[in-house]
Amino acid sequence: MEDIVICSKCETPQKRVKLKKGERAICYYCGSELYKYIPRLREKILVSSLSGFLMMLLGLIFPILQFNIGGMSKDFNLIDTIKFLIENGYLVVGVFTLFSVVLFPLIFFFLVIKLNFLADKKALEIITHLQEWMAFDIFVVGILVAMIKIFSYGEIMFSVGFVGFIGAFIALFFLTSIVKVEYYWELYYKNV
Amino acid sequence: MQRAKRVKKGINFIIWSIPVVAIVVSLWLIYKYYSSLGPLIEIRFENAGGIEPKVSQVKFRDVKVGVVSDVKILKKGVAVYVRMNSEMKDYLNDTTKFWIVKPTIEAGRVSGLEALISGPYIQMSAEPLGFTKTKFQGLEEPPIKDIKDVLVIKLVANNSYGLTERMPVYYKQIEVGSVRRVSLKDNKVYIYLAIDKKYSIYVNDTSKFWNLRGVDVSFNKDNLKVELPSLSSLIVGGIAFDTLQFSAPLTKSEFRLYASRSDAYQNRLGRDKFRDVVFIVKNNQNGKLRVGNPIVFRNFKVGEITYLKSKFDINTNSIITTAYAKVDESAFRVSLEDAIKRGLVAQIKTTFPILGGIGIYLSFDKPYKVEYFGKYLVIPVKKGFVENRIVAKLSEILDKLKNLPLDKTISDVSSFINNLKNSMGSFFATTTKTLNTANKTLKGINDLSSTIDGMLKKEINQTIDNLNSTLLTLQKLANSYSKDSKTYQRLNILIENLNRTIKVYRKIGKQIDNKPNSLVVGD
Amino acid sequence: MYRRCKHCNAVNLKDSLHCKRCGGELKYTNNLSLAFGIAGLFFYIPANIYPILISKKLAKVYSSTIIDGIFALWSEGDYPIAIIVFLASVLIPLIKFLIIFYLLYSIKFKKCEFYKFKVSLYSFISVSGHWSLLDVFVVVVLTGIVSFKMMSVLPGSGALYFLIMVILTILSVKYLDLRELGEKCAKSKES
Repeated sequence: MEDIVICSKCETPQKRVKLKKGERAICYYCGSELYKYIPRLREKILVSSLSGFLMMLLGLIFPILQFNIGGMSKDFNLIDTIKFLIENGYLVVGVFTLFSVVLFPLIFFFLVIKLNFLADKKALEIITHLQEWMAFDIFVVGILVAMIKIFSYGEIMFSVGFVGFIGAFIALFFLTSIVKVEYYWELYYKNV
Repeated sequence: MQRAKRVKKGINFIIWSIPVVAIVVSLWLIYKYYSSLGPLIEIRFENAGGIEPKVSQVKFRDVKVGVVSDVKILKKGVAVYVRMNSEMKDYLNDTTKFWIVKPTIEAGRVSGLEALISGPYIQMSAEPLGFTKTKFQGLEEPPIKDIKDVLVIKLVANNSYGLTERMPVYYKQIEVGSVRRVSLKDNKVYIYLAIDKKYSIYVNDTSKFWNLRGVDVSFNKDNLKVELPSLSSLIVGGIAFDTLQFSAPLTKSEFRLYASRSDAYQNRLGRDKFRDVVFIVKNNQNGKLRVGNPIVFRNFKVGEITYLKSKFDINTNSIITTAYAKVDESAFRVSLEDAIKRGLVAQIKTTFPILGGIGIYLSFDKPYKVEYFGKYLVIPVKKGFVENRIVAKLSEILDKLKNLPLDKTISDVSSFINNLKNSMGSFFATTTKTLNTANKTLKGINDLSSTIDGMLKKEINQTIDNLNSTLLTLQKLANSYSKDSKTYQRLNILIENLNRTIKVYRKIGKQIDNKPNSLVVGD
Repeated sequence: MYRRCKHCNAVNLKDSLHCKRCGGELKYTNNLSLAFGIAGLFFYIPANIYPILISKKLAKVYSSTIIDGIFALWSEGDYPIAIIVFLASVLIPLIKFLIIFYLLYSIKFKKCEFYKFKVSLYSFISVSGHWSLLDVFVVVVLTGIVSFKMMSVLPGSGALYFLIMVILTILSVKYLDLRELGEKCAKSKES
């Protein structure tokens, strides 16, 4: 069964083909992408996960933005905001944000780093199920939209945390959207 | 089973949707930022007055229109860089003025209260005449017409009477505004007052303004009245006004500032349209003429002597004095030349002592010829001198009273107190005590002058006592300062002045002792 | 003969119950998907009616729904952003429900016509799943940024309903199994 692939769109089973650089395999029936060749994938995953994890920590420790309005200024810090939400009765919103934006991405980065050194079936399983519950990318877009909403009220300044969030955003995009979940299985499962 | 197809790599748009949206939003944010960025302007001030980068705002009609982005120190002054809102572009031109608003607390008045809460900010005023300028020279104080919620009144005077900015303006002893600017232009003093909006209804064409520091000396029938303003207004100074008809309209663009209340309410014949004239006086009383002596026409003061020049003529053994004077031409309703043709003539007489020594009295007689001395019109003078002995004596005594170093003392006290206020607040209580004593003294002088009778001596003694106690307090105060301090030296000068005042009072007291009636009746 | 694991895309034998690789269930769960879909639709209404954002300025309290927020952006001149928020918060959830019910109907009654179109519809709802969270996160960020004594922003009850709706639709899409239709249609194609 190793040389068989099933199209994820039309469920047509077909034989795998070997790919060269710059090529991808598509379903012979419906034409949707089956898999692609990413050169030096292991290194890329290692680099992205390590830098993504550090960037994420940077974004969580340092304030993301500073907002100045009429001489008053306020730092926007995600952890403080979640704490504020939970303490003020917005439990569902707070907890959901905590998990989908903070904990799941952190765990994801951590497990991908771990895979690089110690392949582990449990880790692969968690990664597989974690994917659909991470909403970090949308949160970053949310920060941008929120900035537009308050733009005319005061002065917005980027802090260190913003750079961290953008870095984590890029790393997470690569590790979840470019590198599909089956690639992790194919790369690391055999080592288990 | 069929094989999968091998193709070149392409872009999967669905996967890239999130980064694409993120980039679109970021680009929009950048576009929004740069399109909202107005011009960066430079304003120079002598000092930054607490303006802080990123915090301080520029306000226009109470709306925030810019934020200070940087403050740089120059060789002379500071340069404040302000990022203006882009919609303010058209307001940056030659009409644009900037000044710093900061809270000020002075003479019991607080201004710029909003700046107390928000910190100093830059106020702007401008006309929308297009975008022509990015470098501005900031004003050190607000322009007169841009002060909010006040009525600005322009006063004209021949003298500034020592009035300075922020001195109070009173109406019925209530502080209703302040002096905003004192400027000298075309040899006239222009004083701008800011009257609080809520009191502006009390100013109209029937209002008269006068200087508060002026000492009012008036003489009516047999009462000499020396009216002194309250000590605080003597020290702080200021302007007072009164309005005759409450409902009159306000159409005047400028008002006259009178030297004192009595000056303001003097019965006037003309409308103060002065003309420079000369009197050529040939008699032996020339020496008594003084600059400032009045020109009187049927008991109305219509002018005064402004300059005197005398020479001795050995051939005729007489002194010829050329008295330059200004005469209110409007008092006669015809030109002075016509008046002379119809018989206007002058005569030197002793006058009411209050008006000082001798005066030039005008009257109508037989027609005279119109002559000119240089460019000045010559008003003919009758020979001879009319003297009133009682009045002459009284005037001597009053002169003495008038020459008391009272003014100097008061100005000394005032400057001393200012000095004290600036340098050490801890002695404020002591000063207040001193002030109170001094106030009593002045009241004493007031009472002294209100009636000249037998009580005078007692009054004078009391005054001396009061002055003495003032002296003691001041001396006590002086002892608390080190000998070489500036305050101590000033204090000493003050004490000397007070001592001199006391001596003069003692002299007057003695004189009354010897001849109780000498003051009133003369010798 | 073979069945794809929808979690990790591993190829399994059709009759096995769990994926040999990730251990996920292999049987179809479209009934569960329908249940979550209906529950999600139920929350769609309060999510749009109740205010998603409450702003306090001094003593005054303003509340705004999702639609209010979009109108505010539009009137400020932020047209692209207004369109994005409108798509993410209003249009996409609505389309998602329509697609979910259409696909579930297709699976139930084995409608094989427009199969490729249905496949793209499915990939659309599985990718756009997170997009609806945008407005909720905007409110969270605003709560974090705008919290001054004089002015503050708090999530409204609409944010909660909206979040629940998004979670339910994500679950619905997660349990929606187009493999069933794919296999059925592949068979019909072969025959």
